[in-house]
Amino acid sequence: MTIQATPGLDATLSPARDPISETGRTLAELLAYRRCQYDATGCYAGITHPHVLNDDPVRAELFHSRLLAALIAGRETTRMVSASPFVREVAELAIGIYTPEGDNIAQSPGIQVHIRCMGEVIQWMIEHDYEHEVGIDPGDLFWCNDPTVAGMHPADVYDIMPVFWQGELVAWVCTVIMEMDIGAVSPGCMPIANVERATDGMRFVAEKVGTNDELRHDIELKIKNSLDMADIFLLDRKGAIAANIRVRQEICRIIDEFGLDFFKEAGRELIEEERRNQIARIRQRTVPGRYRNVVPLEFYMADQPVSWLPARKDHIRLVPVEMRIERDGALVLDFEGAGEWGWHPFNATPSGMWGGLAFSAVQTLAYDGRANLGSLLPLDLRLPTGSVLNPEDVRPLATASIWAPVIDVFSLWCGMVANSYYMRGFREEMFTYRGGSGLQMAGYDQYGTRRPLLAAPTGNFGAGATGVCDGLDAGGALITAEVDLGNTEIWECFMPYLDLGRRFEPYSVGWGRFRSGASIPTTAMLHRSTETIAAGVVGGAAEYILPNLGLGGGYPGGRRFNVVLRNTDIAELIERRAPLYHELGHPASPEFERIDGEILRLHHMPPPMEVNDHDILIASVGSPGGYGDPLERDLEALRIDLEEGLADPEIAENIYGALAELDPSRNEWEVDVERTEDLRAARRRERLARAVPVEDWWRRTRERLVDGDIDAMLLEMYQSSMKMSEAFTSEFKQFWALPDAWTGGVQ
Amino acid sequence: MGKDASLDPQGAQIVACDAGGTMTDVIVVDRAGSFAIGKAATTPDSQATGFCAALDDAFGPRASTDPATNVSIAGVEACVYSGTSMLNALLTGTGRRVGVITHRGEEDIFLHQRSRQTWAGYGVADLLHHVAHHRPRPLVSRRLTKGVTGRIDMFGVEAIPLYEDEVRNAVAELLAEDVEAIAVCLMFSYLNPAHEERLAELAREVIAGAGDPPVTLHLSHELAPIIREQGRLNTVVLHAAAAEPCRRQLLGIEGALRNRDYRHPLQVLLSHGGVADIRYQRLHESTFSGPIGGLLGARYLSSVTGIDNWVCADMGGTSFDVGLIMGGEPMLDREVTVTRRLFNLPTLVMDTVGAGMGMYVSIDPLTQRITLGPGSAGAEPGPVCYDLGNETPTVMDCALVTGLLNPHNYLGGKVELNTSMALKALREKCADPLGVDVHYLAEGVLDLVTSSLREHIRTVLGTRGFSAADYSLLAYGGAGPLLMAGYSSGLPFRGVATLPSAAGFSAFGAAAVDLTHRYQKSSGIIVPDGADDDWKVGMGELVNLGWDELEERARADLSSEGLDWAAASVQPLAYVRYGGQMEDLEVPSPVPRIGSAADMDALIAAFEALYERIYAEVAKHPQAGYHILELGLTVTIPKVKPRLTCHPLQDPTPTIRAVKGQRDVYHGRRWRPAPLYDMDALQPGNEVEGMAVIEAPATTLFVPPGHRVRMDEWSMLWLTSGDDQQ
Repeated sequence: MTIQATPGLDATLSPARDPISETGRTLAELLAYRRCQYDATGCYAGITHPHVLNDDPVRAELFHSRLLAALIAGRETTRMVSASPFVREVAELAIGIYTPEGDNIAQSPGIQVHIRCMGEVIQWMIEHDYEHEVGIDPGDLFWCNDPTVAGMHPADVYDIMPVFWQGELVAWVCTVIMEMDIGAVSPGCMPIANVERATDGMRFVAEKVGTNDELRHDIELKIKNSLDMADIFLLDRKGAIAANIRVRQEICRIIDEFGLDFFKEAGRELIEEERRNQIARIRQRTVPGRYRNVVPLEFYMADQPVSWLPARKDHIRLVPVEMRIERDGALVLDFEGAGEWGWHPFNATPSGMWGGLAFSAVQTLAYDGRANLGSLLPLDLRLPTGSVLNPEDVRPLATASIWAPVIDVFSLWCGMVANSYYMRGFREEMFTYRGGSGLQMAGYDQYGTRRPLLAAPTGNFGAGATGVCDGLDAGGALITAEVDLGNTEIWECFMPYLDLGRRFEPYSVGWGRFRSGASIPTTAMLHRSTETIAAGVVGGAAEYILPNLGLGGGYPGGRRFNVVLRNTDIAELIERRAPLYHELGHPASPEFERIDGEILRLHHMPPPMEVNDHDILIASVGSPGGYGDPLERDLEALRIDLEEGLADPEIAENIYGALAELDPSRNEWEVDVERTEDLRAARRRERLARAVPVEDWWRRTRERLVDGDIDAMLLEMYQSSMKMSEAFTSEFKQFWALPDAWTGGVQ
Repeated sequence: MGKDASLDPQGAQIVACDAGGTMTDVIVVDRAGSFAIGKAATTPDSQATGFCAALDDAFGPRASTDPATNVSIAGVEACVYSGTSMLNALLTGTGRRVGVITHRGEEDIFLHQRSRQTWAGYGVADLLHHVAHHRPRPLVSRRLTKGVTGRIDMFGVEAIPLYEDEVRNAVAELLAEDVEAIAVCLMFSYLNPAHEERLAELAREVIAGAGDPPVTLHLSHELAPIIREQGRLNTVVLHAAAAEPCRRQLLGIEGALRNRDYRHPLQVLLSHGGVADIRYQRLHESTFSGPIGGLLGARYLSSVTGIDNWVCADMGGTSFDVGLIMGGEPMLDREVTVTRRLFNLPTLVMDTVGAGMGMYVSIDPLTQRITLGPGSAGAEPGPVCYDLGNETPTVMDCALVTGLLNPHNYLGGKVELNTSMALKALREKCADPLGVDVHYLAEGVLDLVTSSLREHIRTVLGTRGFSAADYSLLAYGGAGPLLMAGYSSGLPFRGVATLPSAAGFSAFGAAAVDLTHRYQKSSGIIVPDGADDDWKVGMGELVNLGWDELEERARADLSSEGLDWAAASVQPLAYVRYGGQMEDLEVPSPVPRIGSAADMDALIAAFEALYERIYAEVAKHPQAGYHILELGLTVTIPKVKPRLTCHPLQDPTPTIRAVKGQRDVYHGRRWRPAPLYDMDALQPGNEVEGMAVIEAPATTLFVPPGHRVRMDEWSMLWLTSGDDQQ
């Protein structure tokens, strides 16, 4: 990670005007000083010889355990006071402790994405001279949910509180909770039909909202007049404030016990120590070198009813990902060649990309409870300016779904790291993931209140296979460590629908010697709804192109798609006691096709559409990838899959090369071992017969390129990347031996 | 509290047991309040055998091994059982074969298990380590889980009628699978049980048509009528699989006791702290009763000593459990995670961390930091010093090499500990890689452990907004007294205490409980901010209807158990939250019924007072109004309990009988001689100055320098530091 030095400042400190930080420095000076120290030494805060922690390892452990305990206690407080099902049911919250200059020292369990983002907000406040222009005093409260400052999307609201000790600002405490309602254009939280800033909802730009541990009265009134779910928003904030106060009290106790100098020095050494630990982990577990892959990001906006008309178009952007691991443990992710930003809510931001790297890196490398800013310091992101990962100016753009590209990029990154783990023999650590998804609607709920309707059970995704076992069925989304489905009864109390089932979808699986976990599609039937719209699904379920998430010959998981059934005959079916709809069934003859009515099958985000009682919303979420050749799958494992409905005889035969039958006398599945061995041998021979030399494949593909035989959207995708990068253009043309003037037939 | 030696077997009045997975503890209390604790191996196939062996052990040489001449317990007025047998039956699959009927589309419920159960109970490092997540074994297999169409909605109104043919088919299919019980859990049945009830009628018809095989039916709205279907279903399965086999075991114990002239029903400790006749319908409520015995013992101490705020800390080989007694009463949770599964079961709150004496100690090869756990050596192979094959050092090895533990006095000398092996393992595996002295390392590990335990206590208090300054600490469990000076240090407790019976205190607690039943039901009471009096009175009538219904059930239960309603005291409960909140608080109603707007105001005021005490003032949000989504009621009938005896105080100086000698102890980075005392020979009024070690057969109390221990008139041992004494 590169920390930018502030021009004109060096490691020499000038006297402060009105200092609230240590030794008479202003926060701005302190921040600049730390950055200079890092640039000069390569060590956090210039700590080339950590001594406070190393001199007494036992005391070091005591100190860290105290910080972690304070954060866990604070987080529990939030959970108990909060009103959001995101907090209680799926744990979308976290708390961190930061240095005065905004660097994360320790982080609670929970959603790890905000480790760096919350610190960036503090640094933004410092850079904008809050110290003098706004004032930072004991008991002050600040809110931020503006991704142009930092963060993942406006639904994540940061509660930020300074910690003072005898007049000196010694730390910050930050809590994040995801909100269901931030006053965005319908549905109100993470709208897809929005491309402009104003439709994102309320934004708090690191705003001072309270003093003396109390929310300002006018801010409370503002919330009440701006949000449909004002009480839930305010209770969540009050939970966060109570937690911050608790952590602040604990920090003061720790300073009492360990002394202020120790607190400050040890806090910074924890960051430097973690930086070194992260380097050691990378060197221990990965192999230096260059790893490459690509992510296509699909944006289907042509049918979205947005008022900014130029935004109404479908397009794809290519994101090449190159991970370079150096011998010294430095790890760089370079996105040279990423396509241009566009008018849609799915542009990433540098802060969001760092957020994605944070939760991925913590849960694959730095999971020992010591994660902090130091976990990210050995890592760097190269995000081309003007690309879909780093628009020149985010301010005019909607930012509701920064998550979507971030998840796609970093799920692929996990696969790249997995390959490196494989080379070191850490096969049990290999895996890939895909994001969570949920249901978005808006309208009048069953209690007569108009509001956003959002259910986001993070636990419906299967986990990627590892190199030694199958992935978890459901429970595999990496966005939060505390992945959960929640209870149907709770979600239904918040949303006007009936969940018709949570059956695993066997065709969502990424098949392999070890398969990925199976996922659970959303199956929601509107019930007691009034003037309701379905407004897509969380996580940007948009996909014609399968993500490349198989490992070692494992297949990618199933494709995500949405189905909306409207004007159905469900009422009549109920009257006749006929079977309703509960599962996707076979892809060739899906169960929903039995339902009479309008069937809208969408491989992309549905635009908002009116739905009524007995209409059914289905979201099939896919899964990550399998590991190894499916023809090597253990037959007993396959038999159990058949017993549990996670495979059918067709999957057994076509994918695993295994012949299985149901023994009707025992009602149990049996796999014919002998015939399976024969079939698998035949499959291997067929593969060889189908194979062509790479050179032949390359020649045929090149001919298609030269002849302009390429889909218009894909061509536009490549052209966008070429516009962004000479290096990409050069490499592309060089690889395909294309003439310099090649444009794909379109100028 | 009396001592083993003074127990009068003929005067035995109460017998209580704590049957763990490996050992069964029995405590016998006589009319003078003296007690004796016996131990024997648990005998899972016939628990009566282990129970009686432990009972004999408690009577000691007074008991005969000849059943014909066993000590008569005709005078015993109450026998109480607590234990983990029901849980073990569920987890090991040795319970009954259970089939489940839920909604069509929900048949995979045991396979996905809410996802939370893939990481529930994990420490931070495992929680954040994505590939470490794994799912516990499904409680019921997919083939035994059937779905039927039909739906009650969130208002308790039928949305989709029950498809009765599907019900008949599902029951028939389960019968064909030879199930012994059928558990039923349908959505929102706690609001409207019509579908579950009709399903049961149809099931009975099908069972009768199949020749009446001995298959029992269990309905979620009867057993656990609380929102959150996944924990509710787990609870019903728990009951269906394990309650009846466990009841048979309990009846066996009762039979064995009757052979010894016991004349009353055997009672069972319930997870919420009451006891009930073993014929009690919801026997599954006793599943998690093992760990809560100590809390109940502390509650009883409160009633006797008048000290009504306790932090109870139970430390054993694998875990450190902390619970609170607040105002003389323990706290209660309604959704609990046990063995990484969720259950909707009212259970006394014990916050557990995996930090016991058997916890492994290692050095992270990458970061060169001391790592505690994960995992524990358990009883077998146990710590290195057990010399049973384990080579990874544990916390107990650290306590041994620093001289805190006596290698020749472990479990009263029954187990000889190998100090040199512990020392070698600690040196080679931990001290040498760090380049530090092995004894310094061992003491540091103990400091780390006590620090993490202290933080755990602080978290338990802190998350509820409580201060240690309002509480006294009670340390028990076999390892509780050894480190109590460490984990209480720096916390401003009113006092820090332990007992000679620390190792058997959970069994003691089981003996010290009133007969209590608890009832709950969902409700939909809403009191908006600024509601007028008419509204409050109207809502109050709904509250009263709920309480009346629960009281009716309570009367029926007591009647069926032959108990006198007139002897019962009744406490109505309301579960109150601000509108929209996801959690609520249990509020004992200050009025027996809501007869006026003022009564409703009193109930809300009680909630607000409790809320403000637990959370910060800023967290209050009355503008959102108040929701009461659940009502409850407890009925209590006093039962005979151990009588704590107040003894006259003796001289501060212990008698010569109490002095055992001296041993070098490594403390404060150096070796120092520490006098040794026999805990059982100390007398009320005796004081012991630190540094000292006070040994009992099943526990050891370490008194650091600058500390003092004093035995009070109830035989409790109070630890004070130099600061406290000034």
